[in-house]
Amino acid sequence: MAEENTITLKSSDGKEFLISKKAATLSETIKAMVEEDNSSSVFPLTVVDSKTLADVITFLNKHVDCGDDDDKKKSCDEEFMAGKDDMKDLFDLVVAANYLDVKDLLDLICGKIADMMQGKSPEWVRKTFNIQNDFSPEEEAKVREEYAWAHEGVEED
Amino acid sequence: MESDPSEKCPEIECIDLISTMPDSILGKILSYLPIENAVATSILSTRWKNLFPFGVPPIKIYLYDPSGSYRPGQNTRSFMNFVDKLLNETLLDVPCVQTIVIYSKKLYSNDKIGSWVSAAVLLNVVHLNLMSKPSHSKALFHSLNGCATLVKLDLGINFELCIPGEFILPNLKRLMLCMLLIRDDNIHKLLDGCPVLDYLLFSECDLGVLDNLTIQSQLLKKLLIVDCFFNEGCEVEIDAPDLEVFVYDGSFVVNCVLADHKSLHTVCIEYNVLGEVNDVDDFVSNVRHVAKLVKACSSTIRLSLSNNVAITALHHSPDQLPLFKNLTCLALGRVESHGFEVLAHLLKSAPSLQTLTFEDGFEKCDGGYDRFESLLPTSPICLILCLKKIEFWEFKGEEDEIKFIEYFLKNGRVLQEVTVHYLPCEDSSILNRLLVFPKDSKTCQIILTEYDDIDRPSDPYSREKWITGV
Repeated sequence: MAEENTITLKSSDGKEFLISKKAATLSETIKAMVEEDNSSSVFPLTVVDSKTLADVITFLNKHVDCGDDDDKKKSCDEEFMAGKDDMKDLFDLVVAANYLDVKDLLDLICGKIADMMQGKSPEWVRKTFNIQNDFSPEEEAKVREEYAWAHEGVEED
Repeated sequence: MESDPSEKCPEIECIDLISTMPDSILGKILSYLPIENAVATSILSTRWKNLFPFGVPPIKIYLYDPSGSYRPGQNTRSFMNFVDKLLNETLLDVPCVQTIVIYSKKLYSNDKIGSWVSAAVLLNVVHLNLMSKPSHSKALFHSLNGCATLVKLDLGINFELCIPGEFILPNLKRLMLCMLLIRDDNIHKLLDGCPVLDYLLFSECDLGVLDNLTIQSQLLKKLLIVDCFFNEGCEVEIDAPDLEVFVYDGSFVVNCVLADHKSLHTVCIEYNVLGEVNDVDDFVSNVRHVAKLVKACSSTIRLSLSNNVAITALHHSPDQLPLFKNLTCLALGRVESHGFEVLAHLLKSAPSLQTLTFEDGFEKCDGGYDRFESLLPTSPICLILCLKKIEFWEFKGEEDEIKFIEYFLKNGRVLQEVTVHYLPCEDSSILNRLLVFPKDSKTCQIILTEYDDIDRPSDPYSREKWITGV
């Protein structure tokens, strides 16, 4: 039997992760699950795969260690984000953070995606994120004119 | 053939992942972007257009100038229309906006600035940062009057503080005044109206027409006066019984009257000049003012005299140094001519000193070290009982500096760490000498590290961290 202070999280592809209750309940979703079902020690997370869940758990453990120290959190977050440039991984994380309701992680990843978009031309953003431009040329010209001030000074591609 | 990844299209890479996100996440991403970038996403696709103005209400809104030159251009009108609509319509139903920053040189003295501030007040703004010039300063303060949600207010630039009668900001805790003209009794009216003020910063304000400035605030904990313009001999009376942090940094020596504040724990005094050397009367009265201020801060725990002007004043002052009985942390600017003697006196007057930092090294001075040593026939108490950490910045390897390090190592009974930040191209034989000096504290570590401009204590960022105690 697992210790009282730990629980097991099960990913969508069936892998199990042991984590302290304290770290796990930084996720509002898991917190609600644990409160609702006090007797279980294994909680299946059907929409988070093992790779993403491992990342989320790393984040939660780091944040528990930081306590209320905001400076420490900041440097932990920087460490956590280092090398995370793959778009697919970032989106998996953002979806997981949203589902698990971990505000700090959601903020962190959204901030990172915003950083990638900042100062870039619409063409660059469309290409990088595979966004289909479904405007007609006339519609696009109209939108561009309405917010003309916002399109000054973007970076050259 | 070169393959373009967008043409290859294996499942994952070609999927528009970002547009499949729920509105709440896209809105959050937009809220991290500067407003012009967030607005510009409306052109990406209909999905993004429909998201805008905001899928989720932003917590912070930064209204900067449309980029480009500082002259109103053809797009300024489209920017103004956007902000009008945003503040007066779009956001009216979303109570979540907390921070509004209006930072505009293009719209200098434009009527819009005042109307945006009024709109911000209606939106229950918590933090308002206005760095532009409204066309009517008085109207601006009328708009702000009574705003109960406002906790943090940053105001600038280049207008006059015009506080109406019966002015109140009942929950304002943090107030920053930048490059404002302040005269008559406006500052009193302002402070009277901020009963829970905790932090007050004057930065580059023009107080030149005032003969005296009284800062009276019951709950004020931090007061910073930085680079302000004062009338010669202006009396600054500070009546804040809970004051913990006091910073005076500037070129004007004021007659600062600070009742002995038992609550003070961090004081930073950084004068840049001590008046004209040829004007003896001026010099003498300035010496008196500076020495009096240092004396008034004698109960502080942390003290930074980061410019040698204060040290010069202490040297010329006929009064003895007060006893700094609580002082555990002392930082000194460049030690030169008189600094050597003042340093000896400071060590004698600070029996609880634990940390000593020489921020800008030592100026070469004949006999400086000898004068220091002759004033200390016996070890000061702090060296015997509590001085644990010493940092030398800008170590140049001159004979006097080496002698100082030797002295502290020889006499520091409880020293734990001596750090020397040496300037590059330092002769390694000198550094090696430091490592073999006899030490009174067997556990003392000597750390030699190359001088790094970024971490130096006089760097504004380091200074701010020091002041806030991080």
